[in-house]
Amino acid sequence: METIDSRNFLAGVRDAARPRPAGRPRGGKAWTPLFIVASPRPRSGKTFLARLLIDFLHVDDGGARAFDLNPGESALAEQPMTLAVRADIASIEGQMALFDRLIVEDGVAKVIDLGNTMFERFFDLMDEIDFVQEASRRAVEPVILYPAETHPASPHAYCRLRRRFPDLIVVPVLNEAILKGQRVRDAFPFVRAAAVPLQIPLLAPALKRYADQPHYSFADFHNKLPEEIPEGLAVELRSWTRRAFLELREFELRLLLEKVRASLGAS
Amino acid sequence: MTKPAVIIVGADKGGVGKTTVSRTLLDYFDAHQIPTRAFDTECPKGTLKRFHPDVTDIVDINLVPDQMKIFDTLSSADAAVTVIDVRAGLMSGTLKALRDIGFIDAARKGQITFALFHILGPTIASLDEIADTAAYLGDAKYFMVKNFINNTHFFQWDEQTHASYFKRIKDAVEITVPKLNEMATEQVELASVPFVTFVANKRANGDPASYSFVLRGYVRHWLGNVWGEYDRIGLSDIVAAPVEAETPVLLQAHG
Repeated sequence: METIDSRNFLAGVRDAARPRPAGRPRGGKAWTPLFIVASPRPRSGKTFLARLLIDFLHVDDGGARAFDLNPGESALAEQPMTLAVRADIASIEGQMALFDRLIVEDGVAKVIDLGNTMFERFFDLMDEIDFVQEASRRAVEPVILYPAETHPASPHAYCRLRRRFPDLIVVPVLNEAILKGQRVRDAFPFVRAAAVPLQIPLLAPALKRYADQPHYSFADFHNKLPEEIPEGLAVELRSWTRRAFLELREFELRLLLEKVRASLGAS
Repeated sequence: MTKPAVIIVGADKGGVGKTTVSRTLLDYFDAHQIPTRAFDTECPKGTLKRFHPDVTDIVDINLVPDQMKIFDTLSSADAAVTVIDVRAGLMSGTLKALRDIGFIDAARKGQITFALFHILGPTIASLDEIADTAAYLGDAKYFMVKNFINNTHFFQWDEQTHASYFKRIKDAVEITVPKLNEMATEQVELASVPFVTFVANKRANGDPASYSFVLRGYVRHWLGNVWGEYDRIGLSDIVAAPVEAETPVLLQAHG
């Protein structure tokens, strides 16, 4: 009698209903990026980074769907320009509302601002429902953007995350406003080219005051100078935005290159 | 040559998840490509038949013709394994009938593989069932299944009491069936399909369905854990045991 491993058998049982995408799905990309901005630490700059990324994706290729997973805070959802919806994974209904959308291969980028209190639960759930394997089969590409900090818990959780999800790209984000000049790069090792740390330049407090306003969008600043901000500050803010977006564009290119290399290797 | 295997899934108490365990067994044998048939003694309704209609017959285990339908065909049926989902309150009676027709003896002589999956509830009454059951078992493989799927907490069991009952049956093995969340349980119930079919997002007729990815993930994870228990006890090897005696399987129904 043929013997099989029961768990392997189950892992091989796949969705019969999944439509086979013909060419590029609506929304542009031949794959669906899913950016998870996550850290187990509070005040690590997650929401700021998520906003920056959402605005970049709007400028870059027409948009992103954003999910705010900060129970009791609704940090991202309070920024109307992000069009972020509140998500909740405490209930099964909430989990279905979130993950059943995240797994759709529609070519539209998704961004999750994952609150530190939901950090463990979110990744436990991802594990439990086999999200990474199913995402890979559907050309949904989860990428974790991990704001680095000097606190020992930060590199510890980063390494644990990489061990737990070896197939995922985990990108340390070195935000100068958070790190305040301290060097942490060596504490966040990486192997894959797509996981080269992102450098977010320091945004001066005078500029951040404008950037934190509810209707502010980095996307607006990319090309023009708004009239409501003094010209000198506006020029500086635009210059900062361009540098930050350039960093994100290079990151996007690294992701693309890795995918091209993978597909060449497979063919 | 493999001997016919009979697995009885039973409990004298109702609502402890007998049919759920039977469903996981049918899925497990199907995955292992072991031909299996099932008898649902919840006559005339038949819950198991709703999920596995192609392999399940509804029988009244108290009636001699239905006993013949099950036990006189053990050697001739295409299926290597027969799973009997015994309705609440009928387990002791069924075991007694099996003894009377010589089935227990046949198992003892190595002509049949006989395994009992005794689904336990949280009460001391459930432990008393173990003592009642022991008298009929002979050389059967006895599995005590702690089923958490119905949110059972086994709060009435202290370790000493449990151990004293557990020792009454030689080589008894414990199996734990973890809890599956209510919504996933309910959705599979509504879909009326085997667990594996739900995971594969298919309807009963094989057409694609639109079940929640999250719920399918939960069912996959849960079923993996249950099957992990079956792998641990070597279930596929147990039912694939070769015939030990030359004598054919001969059972006589006495009624």
